[in-house]
Amino acid sequence: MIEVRGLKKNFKNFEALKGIDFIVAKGEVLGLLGENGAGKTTTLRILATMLKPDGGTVKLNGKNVLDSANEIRKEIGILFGGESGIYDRLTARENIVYYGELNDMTKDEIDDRIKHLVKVFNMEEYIDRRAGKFSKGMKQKVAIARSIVHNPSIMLFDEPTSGLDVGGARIIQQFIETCKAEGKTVIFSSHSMAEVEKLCDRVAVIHKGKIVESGYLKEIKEKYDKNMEDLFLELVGEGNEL
Amino acid sequence: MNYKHIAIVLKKELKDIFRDKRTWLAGVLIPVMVFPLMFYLMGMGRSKMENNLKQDIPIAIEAQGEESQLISYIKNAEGLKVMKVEDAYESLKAGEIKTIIHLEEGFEEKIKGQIPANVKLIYDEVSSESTMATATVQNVIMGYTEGVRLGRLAELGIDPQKLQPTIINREAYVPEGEESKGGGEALMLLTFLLPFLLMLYPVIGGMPAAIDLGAGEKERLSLEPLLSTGADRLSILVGKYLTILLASVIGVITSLAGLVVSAKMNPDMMPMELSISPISILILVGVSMLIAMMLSGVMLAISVFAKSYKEAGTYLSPITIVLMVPAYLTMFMDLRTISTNLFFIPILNAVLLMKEVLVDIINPVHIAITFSMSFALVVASLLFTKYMFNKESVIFRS
Repeated sequence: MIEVRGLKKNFKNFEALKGIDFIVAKGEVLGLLGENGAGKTTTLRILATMLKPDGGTVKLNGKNVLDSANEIRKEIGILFGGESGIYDRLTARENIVYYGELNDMTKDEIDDRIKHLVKVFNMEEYIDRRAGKFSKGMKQKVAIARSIVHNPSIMLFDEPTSGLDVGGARIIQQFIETCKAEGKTVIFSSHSMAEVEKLCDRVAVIHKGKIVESGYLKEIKEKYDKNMEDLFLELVGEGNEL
Repeated sequence: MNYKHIAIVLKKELKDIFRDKRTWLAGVLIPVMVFPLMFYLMGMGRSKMENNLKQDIPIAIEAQGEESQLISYIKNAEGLKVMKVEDAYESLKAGEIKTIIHLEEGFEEKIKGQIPANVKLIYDEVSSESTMATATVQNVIMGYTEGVRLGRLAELGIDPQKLQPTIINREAYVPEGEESKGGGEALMLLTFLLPFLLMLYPVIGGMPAAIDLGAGEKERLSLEPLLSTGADRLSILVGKYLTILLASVIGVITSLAGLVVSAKMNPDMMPMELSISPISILILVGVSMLIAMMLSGVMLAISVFAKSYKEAGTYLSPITIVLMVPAYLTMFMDLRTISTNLFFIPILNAVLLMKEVLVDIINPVHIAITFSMSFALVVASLLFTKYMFNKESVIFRS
């Protein structure tokens, strides 16, 4: 479970987050929607304990990010979009093992988990090859496997399909569906309304550091009686400006 | 800080950087090859010049009037070959002759009249062979002059020894129980080169790793996933720091190996008969380790600040130039009269101390100041690196 109350974050004189609140229950997928610079990545970075909040409380599985950062990181997996950030000179296996070891898994646990992940993502052919010459799709699979090697109960996705082709995006979408099926708590930031409609239980629209709307997807759509794209543009004011 | 996580990061980073060709090139291949290659090529050039000078040196003589006895002396002298050329100056410029001997008008008359006669040796200042050959020609003429001098003294019935009241011998003082350092060029070369290497090669060896482990992580977008693992930030930082330190030390060791190989291959160019005492070796290793530790921290901090490989390279490259300054500054400093105040200047003090211990000057005050200052700098560089790695605006600088 993720609980965010009155979260604030400043960068020098810029208020990136102005006191945001949301809750994601276990097994739920929350879509975090917003324009570039709205505060989505800052929120995810605070949840992942990479940034410290300047105000409010953030709890993951009941643990506060300020007091229990190390424990929280062992319970989360994070996946970014675009470039996958894997090490080209290491093999796919070495990339995954590295993250398993840093998450305090034993050798046997890592071996068992890799066997499972290799099957799930069809990585048999290239698991022991260096990642430098992998295609984007192959790299994305390794990045996913690396982010869940320790079987985290919370997954954070920051625009995970950004820059990927249709095949690559499909892999990610299927993976998010799997997370949901496995009962993981998921936050997913995206620009793609189609993805949000397909994958999310709830949405939170963030605009200029504030949550301007949040709730179950179905309820929000009923409330505004609009498709997600029109709804989003209305909430962030872009429609009026156009 | 978690030692297990440090070891995991260190193991991964070492595996990663040693699979990178740049590490092998900058950390191993260049340091090992640069000195043997440089000394080999310099040796080849010197051998060629020496061989040319071993053959008879082609010269031309410009003289007017009565043929001088000096000309006959030169024609019969070993090692010189008088050439007949149309334009001596063009021949000198073309390298066909190495020196022109110009005798002033009335040269022979002046000799006979016991009046000093002018001999001008004209050489090509651009040609090192011409410069060296002229010294040989001068020696031949000095031989003739000495013969004439002795002849005149004999005519006057004066014993030449009576005109030489002193005989000067130079001898280096070597304290009892110590060995001669050999002195001269070899000592100067070694006391310049060794501190220079120990300063420069931690940077050359460690720089590719520093760039890859800081700015490289940012550029390939692997830093954020790494920071979201169970490892705390300090353990990740220490693992990376130790990797760079190890690469720096490897750079130093390989460059020293290259120096030793050069000396063995080319003992004329690089005499290594200098013996260094165990205490001096211990101090050298200690100082160079402190320098490597400090520079590794500084390089990692700068690399973490940079957004990309390119930016990190731009920031880090000037460090090599900065480190060359103290090596050159101290080149002509007198080791016996160095002011203790200079040992309070960071980096410069390390170079001075290395120079001192290479000639077995063990000054406890200098050692204490240098080690304290260097240790303080290491601590400062590590704190600075830790500060940079924890600073949100640095880590997420884009």
